[in-house]
Amino acid sequence: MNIEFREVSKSYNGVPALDGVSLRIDPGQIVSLLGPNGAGKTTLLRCVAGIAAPDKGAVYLDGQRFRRDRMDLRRRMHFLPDFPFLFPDQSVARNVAIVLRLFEADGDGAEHRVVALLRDFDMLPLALRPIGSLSRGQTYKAGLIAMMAADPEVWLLDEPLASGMDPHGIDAFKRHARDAATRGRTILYSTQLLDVAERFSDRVCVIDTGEIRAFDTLDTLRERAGDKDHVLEELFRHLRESQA
Amino acid sequence: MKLHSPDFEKKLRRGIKEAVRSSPAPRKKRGRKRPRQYNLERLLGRPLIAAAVGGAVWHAVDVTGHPPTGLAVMTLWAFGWIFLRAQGLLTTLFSANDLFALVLLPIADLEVFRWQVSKFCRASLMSLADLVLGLGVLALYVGLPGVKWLALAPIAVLAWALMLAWSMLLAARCPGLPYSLISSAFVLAGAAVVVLNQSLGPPVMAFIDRHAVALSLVLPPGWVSSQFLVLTDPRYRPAIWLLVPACLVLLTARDSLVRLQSGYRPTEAIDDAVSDVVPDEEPSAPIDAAPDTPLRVEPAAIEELILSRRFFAPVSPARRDWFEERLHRWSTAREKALADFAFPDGFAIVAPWARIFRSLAIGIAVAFLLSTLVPSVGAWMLGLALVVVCLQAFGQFFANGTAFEEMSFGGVKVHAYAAYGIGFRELTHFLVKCSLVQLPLVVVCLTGCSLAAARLTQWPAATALRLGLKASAFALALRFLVLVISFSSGTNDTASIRRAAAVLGLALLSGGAFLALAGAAWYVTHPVAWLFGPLAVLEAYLFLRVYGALYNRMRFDLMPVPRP
Repeated sequence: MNIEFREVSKSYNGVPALDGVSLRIDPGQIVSLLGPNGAGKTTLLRCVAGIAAPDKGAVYLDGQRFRRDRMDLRRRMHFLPDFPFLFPDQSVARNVAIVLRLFEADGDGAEHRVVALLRDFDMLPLALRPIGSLSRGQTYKAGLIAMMAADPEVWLLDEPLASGMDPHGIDAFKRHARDAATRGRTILYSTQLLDVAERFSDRVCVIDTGEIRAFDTLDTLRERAGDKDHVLEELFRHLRESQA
Repeated sequence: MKLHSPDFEKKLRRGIKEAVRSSPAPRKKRGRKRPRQYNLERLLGRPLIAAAVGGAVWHAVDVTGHPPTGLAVMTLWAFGWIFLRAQGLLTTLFSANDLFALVLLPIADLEVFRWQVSKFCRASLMSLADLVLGLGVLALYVGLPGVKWLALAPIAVLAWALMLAWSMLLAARCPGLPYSLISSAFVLAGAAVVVLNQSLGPPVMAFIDRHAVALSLVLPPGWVSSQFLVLTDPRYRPAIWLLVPACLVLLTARDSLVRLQSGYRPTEAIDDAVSDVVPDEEPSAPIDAAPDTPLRVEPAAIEELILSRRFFAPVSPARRDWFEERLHRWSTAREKALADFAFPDGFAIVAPWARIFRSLAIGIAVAFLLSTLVPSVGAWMLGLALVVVCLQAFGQFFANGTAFEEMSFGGVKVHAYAAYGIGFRELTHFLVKCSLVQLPLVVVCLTGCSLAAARLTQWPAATALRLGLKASAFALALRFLVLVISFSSGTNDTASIRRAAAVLGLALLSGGAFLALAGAAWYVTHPVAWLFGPLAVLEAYLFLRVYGALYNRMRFDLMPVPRP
């Protein structure tokens, strides 16, 4: 599924969060959204998920204008916020089951996917534990497992690398995300960690004060940057200097 | 360390201003015009309560012509308020949300205590406005001379301080009292009088009027506010002596705070280890066999459970009786998935309704038993029972499960359904189905309530039956409106003037039409009035559809507006 922003603007209380954003993300890519706090990263994700309504412009999915009643489009994407909504009294396994049913991904074979994911994320011993008794990182892992088991075409993730997951969890997430991208899934995630984004994305989207400052592959960005080793850091330094 | 230092705040503000002035980018940002922000709830919520108190006082003196009756209404309100604030003080001190953050800071417990008490006092400040308004209304009614108006301010302030002192005294001396239950009873009784004003209003007002002076003098909050009577009528001059016990109670405030503060140790709550959630039939294999350790299941057994697909079913599902079975058969596969999401343990119908009918039966039996002994008490009991039963019935009939539960999402609260891409139409369809399946039970319950009230008020049974059926139709219409409110509460559909004008205009138009139709159906006795009931249902349904269209066309966000 490709995602296209056409001149999307969005403001909160008169303060612009997105300012005429135009962007096209093709399937099978891992795209990191980078930007300072309040740059508009989460708003961009919210617009794709239909939680925020653009003031101007529109989001197009597979060339079709996105509206909240386009359930055929909405069921093909999953949004995992920084604090996933899961039922605190229900076990991890039951929460995964509820998400699978919502995404109509509970057919034959779902149980094998769930077991494999629970193993990969070191969550099998905790699969019957109520979500409310887990740590933040474990809760995020449970949300990730539910999303990965549902296997939607678009993964929207808000700060997955600052979610409290342990290094093993982060590693498992990267492996599964890369695997999903090779299967044609689109992964769009926001992050503040420049070094991670540099190593774990096919394209980098740098956003600042609601405007896209750069959207390209790392190789192209390296070509343009003076400092080839720290291309994103250099980009951010330029941004700050231009603001000052 | 101080929790709040005005000097530090002043210095910080000055520093920020200087930094903004010396740097062009923030100066430019600051110069941008922002539309005026407003928060309707905060702006109107509390003043509306004050207005309601003033209105109730005015209504009481207007109906009875006796200022002491108005004062008694105010005293009754203040009496209920004391319990509410005692609960508020205990909550602020021991279970407020910010305590969890405060205990992590390097602040002495005493500082935290003082901060929480000051918060409690600030939160109670608006009730001073209630008192001022209530006394002002009374003074206006009796035409109090200009000079005596000056005395109202100290009376109101002293009465407010007395109410605070009583709250502190109760919280310190009797922390175990069921305050929320007591204050809820006051709120329910007040709501019952307002809703059933035609039948309950006159006897209640007559009772208050008969015992007005006694209520104001006997109930503690009236000790100070009854000084108003001293101002207006020399016969009440002895009431000035009530200031003595009032001052004594005021003096206890310090002792109450000392008592609350002694041993005040807000600590971080640490949950006990919990057991695995194991399906009933699952043979559990605890790793640790010690009696107090939580149950743990071996990974091999967990894997087996998942591979057998038993994790798709609720662990302890609600029993599926006749009504639940009807709903299950009527639901599409998608609606079954939504049911799993909104009601993870299953949607129970028969068991909660059995409890509701049991409450109704007990309430009616007790009321009729009491009415043979003291008729007025029996009527009160029945009124209270019917209010409780109706609240229970509507709670069950309008149940939304967890669909509209709020979740934290990048600094804003978003409803759970929105985070999972669940559509407006499919969710409303499912929830309306849940209500429609219960409609026969609502009809039986409301008709039963109506017949019970008729038995006591000597209405003809046919009238009671008609009213029960009409009330059921309104309950169905309200279902649609409740759904709109549920969706709307998680959006910013009224955040900007333009949107507010559209949505509120639509709501006012629709609400006006609904009230007109419902009122016509309720009061008009002509047979054609039967048509108005279904029309009211249809009107409410159309409102839901129009709101749904705005929702789907993305006219607003599914979250409140983040504060800049």
